[in-house]
Amino acid sequence: MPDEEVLEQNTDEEPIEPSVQYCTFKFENELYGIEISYIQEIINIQKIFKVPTSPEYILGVINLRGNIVPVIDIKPILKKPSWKADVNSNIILINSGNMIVGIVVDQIGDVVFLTRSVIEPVEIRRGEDMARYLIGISKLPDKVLALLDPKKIIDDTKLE
Amino acid sequence: MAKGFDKSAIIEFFLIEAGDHITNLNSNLLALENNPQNIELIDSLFRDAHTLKGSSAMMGFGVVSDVAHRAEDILESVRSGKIVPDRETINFVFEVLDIVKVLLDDIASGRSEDGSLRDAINKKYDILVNRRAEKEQAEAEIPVEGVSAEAEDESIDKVYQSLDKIFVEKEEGESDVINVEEAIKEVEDESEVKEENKAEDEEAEVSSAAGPARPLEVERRPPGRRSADVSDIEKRTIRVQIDQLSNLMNLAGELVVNRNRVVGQLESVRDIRDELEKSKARLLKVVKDFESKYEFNLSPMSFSSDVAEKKKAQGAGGFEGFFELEFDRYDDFNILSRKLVEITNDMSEIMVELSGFFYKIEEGASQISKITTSLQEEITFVRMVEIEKLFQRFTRLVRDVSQSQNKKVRIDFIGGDTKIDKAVFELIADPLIHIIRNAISHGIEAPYNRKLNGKDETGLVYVKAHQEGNNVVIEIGDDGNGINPEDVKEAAIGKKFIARAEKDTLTDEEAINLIFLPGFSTSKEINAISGRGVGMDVVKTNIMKLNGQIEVQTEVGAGTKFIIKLPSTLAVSQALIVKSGDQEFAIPLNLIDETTRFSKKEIDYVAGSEVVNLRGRVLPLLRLEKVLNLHASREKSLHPVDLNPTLILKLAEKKIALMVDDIAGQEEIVVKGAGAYLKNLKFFSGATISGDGDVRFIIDTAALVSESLLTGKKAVDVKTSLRAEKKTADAGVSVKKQDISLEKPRIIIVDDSISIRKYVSHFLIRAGYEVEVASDGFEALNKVGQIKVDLIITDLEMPIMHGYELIAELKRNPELSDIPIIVLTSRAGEKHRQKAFEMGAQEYVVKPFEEEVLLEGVKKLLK
Repeated sequence: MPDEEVLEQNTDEEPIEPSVQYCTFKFENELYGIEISYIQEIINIQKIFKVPTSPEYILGVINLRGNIVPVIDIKPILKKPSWKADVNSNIILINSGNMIVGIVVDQIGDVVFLTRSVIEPVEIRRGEDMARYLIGISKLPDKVLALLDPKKIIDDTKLE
Repeated sequence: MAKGFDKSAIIEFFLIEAGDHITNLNSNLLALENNPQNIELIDSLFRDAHTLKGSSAMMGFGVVSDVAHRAEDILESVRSGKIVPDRETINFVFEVLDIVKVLLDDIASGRSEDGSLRDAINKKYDILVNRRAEKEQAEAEIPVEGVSAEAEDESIDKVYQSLDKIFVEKEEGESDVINVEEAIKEVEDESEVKEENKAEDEEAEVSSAAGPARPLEVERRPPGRRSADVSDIEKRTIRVQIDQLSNLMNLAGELVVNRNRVVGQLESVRDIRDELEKSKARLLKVVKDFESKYEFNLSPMSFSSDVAEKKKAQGAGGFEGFFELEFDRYDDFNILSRKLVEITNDMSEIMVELSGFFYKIEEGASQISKITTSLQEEITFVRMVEIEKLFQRFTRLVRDVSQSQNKKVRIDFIGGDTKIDKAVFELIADPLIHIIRNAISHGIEAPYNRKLNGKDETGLVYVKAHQEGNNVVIEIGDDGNGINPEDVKEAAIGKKFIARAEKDTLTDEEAINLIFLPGFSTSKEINAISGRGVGMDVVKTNIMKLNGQIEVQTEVGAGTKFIIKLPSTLAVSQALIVKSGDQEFAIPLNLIDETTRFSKKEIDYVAGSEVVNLRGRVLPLLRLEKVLNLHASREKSLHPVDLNPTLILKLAEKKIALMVDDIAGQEEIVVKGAGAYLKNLKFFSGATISGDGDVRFIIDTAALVSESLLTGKKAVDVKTSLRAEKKTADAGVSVKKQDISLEKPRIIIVDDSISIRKYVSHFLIRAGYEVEVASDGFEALNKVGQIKVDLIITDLEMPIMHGYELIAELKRNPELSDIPIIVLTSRAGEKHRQKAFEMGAQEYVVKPFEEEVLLEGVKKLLK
């Protein structure tokens, strides 16, 4: 868990708080972040091949240089309307426990450095489901950033 | 020892074998360090050292043998609990290994062994043993005495240091002599050693000390030549992770995809070129026509047309009569036409050039094509392993299972050299083990019952493999009781799989199919080995997953045979590409029986499910788009008379019809997994990428078939089962053939050392005997059960089943108890000799031995 890592590092006498990098992206106007160590690469949207009989959130698979990689839409999980095909979208390839899964996002944002102290616990407002996938919230100067737990999302959504 | 006998061919075997022993010893020693109480490790260490000693003595490498003997001695003491495997002991054995390694390198490069190394080891051995004795004494007396032990410790360290020097010194100087004895002497005199350690230039010290009494000259080795180093033979091989191989395969697959793409594009370019050629020809023709027409038209014009005449007169400025000049100067039309001809000619030339160039590209492309194909083949081939290796896992199983059930079973393996993809190999191992277990516990009867039925007491289980096109066919048969359909039906009723009323409606074949139902088992009692009821359905599922087929042939009283057909590789396969909606799918070709067409009119309904009639046979019909839920609303678009492509899929004896929108063609596909995330995708067994980079899912035919059955009757599964075929005698026949070919007396040599086996068989064959070999008692016992053997030559120390066990087993079996036995061992002790004779051995020969002595014994016993 990234949180523990940060805590551990904090026990050093170092006066400067170590920070973790998060890659941010947008769903409509909301800003989300995923810890950068989970991210294998970010690619432009490309042809997605449907997977018949699979649940709707599985958009399909892409041909990533000869490897077949599933691409999912996590917007329904975050209680948002399903993703709509858009040439400006990106796919974030998440690497979690030997699985590579692509997540479509509306728009890629900057990478931010966050120290542990600026990450606040999640206030459950929109129900349990969603809070499950949030690690915390951080208030950036202009926006609120919701930090996602990609491992949990992938583990919960994979076909079993 | 072998005299006047060319050993060179056998030496290589010896070197490989010795290398293996050293590798084992090394790794086991390392393991022992962390786990000094592990008896298994000690046993295996001892065995390796013992075998190394024995085989090197046999080969005439006395020094290796003596040195290995020291390790054996120490390990023997460890084994008997006399000493504990502490650091010094282990270090000593390591030291021995290093020396052996050096000696083996000498042997490999054709030099003679270096006797001084033996002396060095003996010295160290003495020191180690003395030190032990002293230490024990010290412990027995006063604990304070430990000081002297410490001193001894130091002296041991010194020995190691000076020996290290032997190895390291080469690094510094090129002078080729050092003195081992001196190195040891140094240790003996402690003060001297201390002084020497202070000395700056160690080499100078050593060579200056090389003077006194009978120095032993040793050729020095390059630095760091230790047993941990690899031998030359090992250097030629490399072990590769199967994952890496898969990656390589993936890349080769990508290359194929790209090759296909290039070939496809090239084809389009070729079409364009052809078009261009045609256009060029047309253009040329038009220009020619135009030219001739123009010339034809022009002449009358220039003479007859006043207007033209006038123009010419004006323009030419009084050059009447020079018709030719008029042509050039006055007629734009003419000039244009000429230009056109020129351009056309230029173009024609460029086209020729382009064609030549294009031809070269084509040539290159086909070259790349060939290379990628062979690259793929090579990589596929690397993944292939001989099925023999799988068979080896079964031998022990048969022994254990048959013993626990008090049955006599012998297992035959045929076609062990058949090659199979490592991935298939791993996936098929468990199903095969299960079938073999079943064969023994359900198939083969108890010895008494077998006798009653007029069968040999020993049951036969055989596993036969052979290649059949791109498939591997594995047959597992037994000569047991067969599967009785009535028993199966009763069991099925008992388990409520079928109603009693259903019983009589089932054919025997259908009844036998019931054994593939989950949770089915006919075994009267449940035991640990089989009869747990988790069996055959898993077997079936696993084989289906591999796109394989399974078939049962059984005859009550005569035996059962399972025939499994598998693709020999999973990486590449032939598939039919079909279209449904806007997506393409691949269907493994080996499961497609035929392709045909049906119209909507021809679809009938049975109990609400669609069926079609194929030449009188009613088959369930599935529509791919419906099954995959592609666009359920489109169903109406089926025209009543339009013929729709339909594939007839065959899984064992079960056939279903699968209607698709279109058949795009046949292709060789590289099979890829859909990844862990989509692991449990229904209806798809994987995916592949088309030449255009599109992803196509591979249809899991087995899943489709079982889907079609969901609507039908619950009970009958998809497996073939034929009854009554006198096929079970197969293995027996092939075995008997071996028996018939026998004329010369046959001797089996049982020894865990390959060089001994090679050596002994070599001279026995020369002496006119037929020879079989086995590497341990168990293998020997198996072979002796299968083929007639006139004499057994066996070692005592062997893994799995040692010599005494073998003799005991042989003597227990009345059929085998008469075979004479020669014990060939390096155990010279009277105790062992006595025991061997007591157990029933006729001769006892100690390794190393004279060829004649053994031959004499063989002759005597075969009379």
